[in-house]
Amino acid sequence: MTEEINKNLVPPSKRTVHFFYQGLIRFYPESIYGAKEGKKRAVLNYWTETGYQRTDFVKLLWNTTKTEDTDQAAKIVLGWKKLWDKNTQPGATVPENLDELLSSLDENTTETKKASAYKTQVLAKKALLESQKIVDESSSEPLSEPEITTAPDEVVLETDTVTSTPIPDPEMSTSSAEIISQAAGPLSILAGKMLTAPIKALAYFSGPKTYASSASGEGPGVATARYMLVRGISSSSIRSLESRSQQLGITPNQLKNLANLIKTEQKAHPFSFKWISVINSGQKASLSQAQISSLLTPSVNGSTAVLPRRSFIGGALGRMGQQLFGKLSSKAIKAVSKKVVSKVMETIGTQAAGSVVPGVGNIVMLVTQFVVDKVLSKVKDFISKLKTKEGKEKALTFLLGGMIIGGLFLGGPIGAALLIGGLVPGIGLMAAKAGGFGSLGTSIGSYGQAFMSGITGAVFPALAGPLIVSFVSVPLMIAVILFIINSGAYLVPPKASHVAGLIESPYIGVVKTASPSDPLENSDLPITIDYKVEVIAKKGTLSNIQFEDVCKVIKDGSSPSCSSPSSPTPEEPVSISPTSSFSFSYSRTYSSPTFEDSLIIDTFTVTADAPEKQGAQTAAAASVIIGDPPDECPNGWPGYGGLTQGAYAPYTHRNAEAIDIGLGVGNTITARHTGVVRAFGNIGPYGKHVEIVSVCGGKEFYSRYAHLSVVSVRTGEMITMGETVGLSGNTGNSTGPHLHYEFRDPSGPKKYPSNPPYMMTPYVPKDLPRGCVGRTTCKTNIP
Amino acid sequence: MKRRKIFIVIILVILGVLIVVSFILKKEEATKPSPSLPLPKIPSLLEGDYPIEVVFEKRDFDFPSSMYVLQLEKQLLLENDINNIASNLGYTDEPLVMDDVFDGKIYIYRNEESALTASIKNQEFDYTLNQIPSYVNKQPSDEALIGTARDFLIENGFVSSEDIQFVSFVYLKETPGQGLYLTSKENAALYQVNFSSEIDDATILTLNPLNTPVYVRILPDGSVFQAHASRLGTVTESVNQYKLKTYEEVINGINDSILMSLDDGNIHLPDISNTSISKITITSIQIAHLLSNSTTTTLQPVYLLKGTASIVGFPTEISASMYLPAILPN
Repeated sequence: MTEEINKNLVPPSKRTVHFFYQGLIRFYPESIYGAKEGKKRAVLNYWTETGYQRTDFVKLLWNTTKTEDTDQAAKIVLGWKKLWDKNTQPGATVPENLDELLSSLDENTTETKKASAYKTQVLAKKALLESQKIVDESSSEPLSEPEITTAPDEVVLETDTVTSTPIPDPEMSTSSAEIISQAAGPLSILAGKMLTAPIKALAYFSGPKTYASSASGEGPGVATARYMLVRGISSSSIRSLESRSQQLGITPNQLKNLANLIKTEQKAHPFSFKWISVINSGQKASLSQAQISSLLTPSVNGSTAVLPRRSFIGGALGRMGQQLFGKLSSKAIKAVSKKVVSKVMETIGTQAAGSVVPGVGNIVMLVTQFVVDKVLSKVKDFISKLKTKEGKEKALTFLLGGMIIGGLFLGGPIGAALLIGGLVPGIGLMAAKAGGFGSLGTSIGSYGQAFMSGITGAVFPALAGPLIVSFVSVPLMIAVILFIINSGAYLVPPKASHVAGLIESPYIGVVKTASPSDPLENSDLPITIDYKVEVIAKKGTLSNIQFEDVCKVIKDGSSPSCSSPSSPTPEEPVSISPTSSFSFSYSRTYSSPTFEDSLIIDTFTVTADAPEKQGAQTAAAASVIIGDPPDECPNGWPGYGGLTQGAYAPYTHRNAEAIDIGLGVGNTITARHTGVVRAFGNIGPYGKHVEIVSVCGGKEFYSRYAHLSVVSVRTGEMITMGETVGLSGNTGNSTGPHLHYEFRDPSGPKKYPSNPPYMMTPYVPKDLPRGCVGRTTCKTNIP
Repeated sequence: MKRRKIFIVIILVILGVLIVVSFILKKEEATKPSPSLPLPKIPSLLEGDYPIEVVFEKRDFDFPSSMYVLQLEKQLLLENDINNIASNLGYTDEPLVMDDVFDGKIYIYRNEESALTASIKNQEFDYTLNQIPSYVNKQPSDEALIGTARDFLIENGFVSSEDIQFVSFVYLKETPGQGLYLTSKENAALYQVNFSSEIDDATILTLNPLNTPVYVRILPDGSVFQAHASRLGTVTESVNQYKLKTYEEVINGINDSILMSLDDGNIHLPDISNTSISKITITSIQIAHLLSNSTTTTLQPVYLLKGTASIVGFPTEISASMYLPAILPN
């Protein structure tokens, strides 16, 4: 293997170096530009064009530069860049296939023909796995997880209440490499290194996403705390176990640590926690454990992330199982995984949380091991039976029977050949067993025996090994690869928040982040939020660029204006090329009591001319949640356009607190309040549509967003105000693209004026005419 | 030597008998109605029972005793095919490609006047003008409507000519924001021309009983307003025929029928409760093959039951349509 890699070593190409350089700019700008005066530079957690999260990128960087020091790695890359700037090839080498992958990723950021996000992410994972080979070959020592220390938008857990004694490390936070090495043990008996890459991928995808939140580089203790939190285990219940700590085999300090971590987590995510309490008590949402857990995972934009989109363990293993062994076995695998998980739960419950929580990666490994062991034992049984006379006869009978049946079934010359081929030795075998047909029968029978003996004695020893390995490993590999390819949902980073009514643009990309992005307590005020905006040319150079920044505050009563930014929106550059994005930062300070219990949405809009399109426009928003904002009642517009029908209008709105907004296909439609999603496919008069269930004024209601062309959210997901639910369209009973936006009670239509919300202030930004039909009659534009 | 000859003769005789027997068995199997087929997956959007009255007569029940199911062999739809259709329709901008949780990647082409959406997974295309333009009512003839619709579908590459045959017209009246209702040709604001695959005696319907997998909506001035195409690929009849429910079996099992549409499809069924339905009266019955979802490859025959419904809160009776699986379950 080492020889194979060394044989294909090449100097890192210019594109590969450019890729790393761009990645460093995004993820480690200080390594390129140096430290900023007074504070840290804003750092991205996700690189859209290449599908890389920060932690993945740093792993790739380390592997490729063969160092575990990011600064050192950055210096190496800068050295390579300097050489290439002088058109000199660097002396260092990387595997050729890795170089090709990285070059294609770099092309993806610059070329006109850009790969889809899905393809990019698959490519990114491939490159990461490929780079891991360098580490595997150069050292047998497992690679430790990279230490992320500079991201400003990470959850900071270093509170005064947390002591320095570490709690026991949960196994699920074991590094990918460790998981690989554990998993590779039993598997290597079967297929050696053939399985290493898929298991790596499996462990990689399954490991950190749900509980460990590796994207933000948090420690395993945090993961454990979150895990317990979502199981309803509070910090006080952990503290109550102090007297039993010895019995549980852990120190009081460790218990105290864990309790503190749970408390910190609860404090850090009051918003999510409140919802989890609702969900746990109500069970109406039917969210999976993984989904509930994921609610506690902070996303880039400050909202609660909702990935993975469905029960991860069940989903992942179910998919893998289905691809491997079909539906029946997939059920069996799901059942096994369920048992494993429930055992873990039981352990947590009975041992009262002092124990270690196995990670998803380990559970996957356990189940994989279980399946492989089962298959192996069956194969072994089969081979051992072939060694006996009865076994040989039985196998021969099955073989010949199969040939006869197959021949009859197939028909034609092949069928006839099979039939004769099965009948002749079959009759001989029967004759030999019965002693009939004299010596002829015996001789044919003995041919059959000899044939079988030949197979088992000569052919099997030579072929059995490779055959069994192929039999077991090839389907497993295919399943794992299919799993990776089909796991688009798990590769997708947390959803970005877009802006209602603005068209998604294939020409302009805007990323806007706020730091810190976690929900804040009122007691955190005053606080300064750093915003970073990056404008990217997706297809060719942008010109005639215009920026607009709008900040809005949602708060009970009269909403205040946003505080002034630290610096005005910069002057628009003359052009933005695909090779160099345009970025800038600013900050806003929010003070007490003005911004207590408020939701602040800062929206940045870019309008520009692309080579293929004049006046292309897109926008991105960053939200900050402070205290307990009134975001469970609807607020704002889900999309922009002309009002074509008011609430309680005749016909389709005769009994509905609903409006129709005329807008073209492909406009972003956003949730107007927090809640739990119900998503519907293209059936019935509303076509593809989304409903969001929530509570407003103490009463349950739901909002409906109908006639969509694309639905982006799944039933059971938690969604926050401002997140995209889909794109406008024309599905269902609709003559022309429009959005049907409605508020309903669980029992039926809303009855004005007894039961808000209604299509009037404060639930929409302005009062709308009721009962009107048609744009000319309604005479209202939104906004 | 003699023994061997006898043995070979015996073997050949056995072989001959086996081949003849298997041939006969195979032939019988082909003509015999197959006893079992899983029920078609028709989503039910309204739970619970409600009274159903059947008023059509036995003489109206004129259907064969058995029927084939249809097998679809879909061809691979490529991104390039979508690009070609978009190009034919005059879209010059790059498409917006988004992931839909139900239908996978959706390609959206749009300009000031119209939009085209396409799904590779479902092999579906939807074209629409952004709004109904002002028009002169030219009262196009049926032939002109069929010709316009067929030309639009074929010239733009939605389907090929051998894939479709005209099935029916649906006349719709429309007011912006008020839904679509059935009407007469004279009063129609949209003429929907339904097409189906070229299979004898087999009408294919979708979950919307008014729509076939391919249809075009034409304005009274003869221009195309909307088009929808689900590419079914090669459609063949099954080897076996399946026994259909008799009149008595339909009457006795009427409660197994699934409500698909109320008020010409303008009522969202989950919005009403079964208790609000005072009665559904079935006045007519037809048979069709059902495309229960875009990815299915087997289309089973279903009875389409049409009639009226009395719903609490509605001053008059409204139209109702239901599907009932036509194949007798085992």
